[in-house]
Amino acid sequence: MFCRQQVAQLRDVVGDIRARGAELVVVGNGRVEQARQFAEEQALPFALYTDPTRESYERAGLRRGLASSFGVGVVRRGLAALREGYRQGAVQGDPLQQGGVLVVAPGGTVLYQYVSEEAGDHPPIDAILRALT
Amino acid sequence: MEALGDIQVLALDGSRVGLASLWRERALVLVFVRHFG
Repeated sequence: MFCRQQVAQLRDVVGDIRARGAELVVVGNGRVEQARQFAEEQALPFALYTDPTRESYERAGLRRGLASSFGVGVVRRGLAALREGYRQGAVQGDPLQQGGVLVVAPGGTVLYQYVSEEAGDHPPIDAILRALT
Repeated sequence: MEALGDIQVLALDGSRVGLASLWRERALVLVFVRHFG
């Protein structure tokens, strides 16, 4: 549910990201066929990749664990997402993995990094766009 | 970033793509989602 919510937010701003000369890509951690199905269902207007090994998540320093997956804040965010109309589908990937966002300049300099504290914790879109200006 | 750039992820056709290749030419917003679901 939270990933559906996040890609919907990203869909709304991909034009703003490209207007700043950047590209947007999303990485998940399910199998390739699951990624393909997700991309089709969500009609994603940006590239989707997957890393079933989750090695990229580990190197990016992203969190993983029970506490970050099922805390009080997660329930609160989940209820808010439900009110917005999002529904949880079958989990395709690691249910304990948390996400994050990097904004990387050409050549590899990190301009912005956000490590999600727990499920449903997404960075402010404005912060991402500011990093590109 | 060098360590992360070395990682290869899988495209939807199953081909391997090095992360560093994605930010070689232009800035990149790289979003890691929890999972597909």
